[in-house]
Amino acid sequence: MKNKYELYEQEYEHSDKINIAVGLIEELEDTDVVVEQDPNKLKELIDMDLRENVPPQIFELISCVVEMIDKAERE
Amino acid sequence: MKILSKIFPEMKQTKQVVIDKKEPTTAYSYEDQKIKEIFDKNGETLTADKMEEVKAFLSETEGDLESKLATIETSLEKDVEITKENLKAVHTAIHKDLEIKEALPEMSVKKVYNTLSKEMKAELKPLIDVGMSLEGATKVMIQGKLTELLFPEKEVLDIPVESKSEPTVSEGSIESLVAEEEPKEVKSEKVVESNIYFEETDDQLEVLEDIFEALSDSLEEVAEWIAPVIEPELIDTKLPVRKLIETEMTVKMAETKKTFDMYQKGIDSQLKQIIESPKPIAMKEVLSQVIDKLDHIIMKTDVPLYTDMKTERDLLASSGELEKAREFLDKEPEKAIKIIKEVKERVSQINYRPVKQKIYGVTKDVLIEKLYDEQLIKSIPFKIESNMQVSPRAVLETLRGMGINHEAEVSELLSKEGKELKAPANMKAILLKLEETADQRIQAKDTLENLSGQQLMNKLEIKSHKQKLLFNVPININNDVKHLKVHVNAKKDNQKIDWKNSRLYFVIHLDKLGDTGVLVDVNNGQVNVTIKNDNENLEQQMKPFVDESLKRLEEVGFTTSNIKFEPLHKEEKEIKSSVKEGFEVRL
Repeated sequence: MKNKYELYEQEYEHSDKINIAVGLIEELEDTDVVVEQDPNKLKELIDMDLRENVPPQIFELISCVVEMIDKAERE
Repeated sequence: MKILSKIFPEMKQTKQVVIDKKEPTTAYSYEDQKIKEIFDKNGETLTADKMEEVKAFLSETEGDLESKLATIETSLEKDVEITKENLKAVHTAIHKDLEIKEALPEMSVKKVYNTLSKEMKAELKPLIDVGMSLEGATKVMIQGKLTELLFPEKEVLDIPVESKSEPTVSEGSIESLVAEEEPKEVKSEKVVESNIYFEETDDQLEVLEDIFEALSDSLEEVAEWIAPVIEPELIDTKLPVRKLIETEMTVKMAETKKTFDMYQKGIDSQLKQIIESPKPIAMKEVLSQVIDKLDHIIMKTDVPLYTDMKTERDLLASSGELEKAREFLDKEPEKAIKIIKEVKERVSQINYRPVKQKIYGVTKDVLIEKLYDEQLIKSIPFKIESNMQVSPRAVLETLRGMGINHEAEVSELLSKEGKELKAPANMKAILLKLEETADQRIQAKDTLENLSGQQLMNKLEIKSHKQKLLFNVPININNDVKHLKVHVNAKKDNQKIDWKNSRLYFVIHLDKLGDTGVLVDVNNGQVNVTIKNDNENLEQQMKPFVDESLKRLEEVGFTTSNIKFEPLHKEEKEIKSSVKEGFEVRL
């Protein structure tokens, strides 16, 4: 069964994330730090931190393939 | 994307929007119908506002309808807010290469020259008169200035011989001058062996002396780097830049050592705890925590930036081994304990040893940052350090340097109270600043859009058990910039990607080898590699390098099984025929 509060939860999540994004833009207003200024874009960019959500092994795979391609092309 | 779908037609299957041959009443209603279908398929309500955003995206973006509809579908799948701007960014990231040169057009020495005062221009004139180019002369001037800032004592030592033999100087002073000179010479000899490990007992300041000597050799390179962003004030400044950097580096080195010791101690005691009282449920949790700690050292601390490669690989291997141990816990606990003991031993034996060459690299960055902090340069100049082949951290740093993690990092900085808010030095940050000045807006727009598009495509899929990632990375091969596209498709456990079950697609166009695709398929830690290329000798040419890479992966916890070489042309034909049969694109 569908959660009857789902719609409200989604609404809440949406407004919550937008608020965070707008807050971030306001907080940075008088500083030297610039971020994406469109709140609808910005809200999508702050959850993913590559340093925390992607394990080093994924980057190791990328590193290995780059090494392989680099060596083969230089050959 | 064209190359991608040619090389890996399966990548496109889920995204393909089949546009049948049914005659639409009007082009628009047909388009509307397709949009609605995509929204329905993804369980999203197509509101009037969203329709307006989608329509604006469709009309303002170049390309065929099919690819634009695919972009809408990808965005919906990623749960990205449907706005015109977001769709444009995703579309750019999927279909275009990341162009960097075009994005930074204003960085020319000529513009800098125009901002210089008459006196400074007069200083440059003699250099230009002897045949030096404007660029060359400006760089020489900046190099001279940097030398003064960093080595004020050099000025004294470089004073012509007569100053040493001036009659007013007492005998004692002459001796002390000579005595002072001797150790300097010894130090400069030391610099030659630039890759020696430091003993922990070494005084940090002595280490820094060496680093500064090495830095003096590379000031030409630094000058070239900062020449286009120099502020005329640099020429007049009397700031104690050297002192500032020395202080900062001393603090950084001490902090990094402390960080490493803290993690090492924590890991050791947690592993000791589970070896001494093995309770399966608690063990799993503790092991996950230790794995997180190891990953954290590699990805988030400065440790890999100061130490040798072996340290990073030991940490990575330990993380991989513990992942295995965690799986053995239920069925073969003895095996798990054996691995845990080995890892404990390995981690406790890591001796934190900073490498001179690496500290030197950090010092160079700190110098640039200091010049920026003191407003002596306009922005932190961006340079792609294309050394991704070196290590996972190098890959991460390349992506961070591009700015693909920019907003997440700023948001984290803001959440840390009391921490000084400093703009992360990355290309996106620079471009966002450039964008504030109207004339740069257009040039930076495509690159910014591409970067944001990658970030949107990397959005954390919170509600899903899988995660997709997209990276467009310019890499330097044979002194030429090539564009590498990497699509990652992985399972996810909690909010962390499961590397043991992931698929990575690489696409690149190479001068010698031609279009090349690499598929790395990891199943339960077992790696299968498929290389797609039309070059007849490729297998022979590439096999030794693939073997090397697979060996490298085995060292850090992967098991490797299969390498396949396949031609590209087969798929190309298939795609062509399917285009004939199934697609008709109307606009």
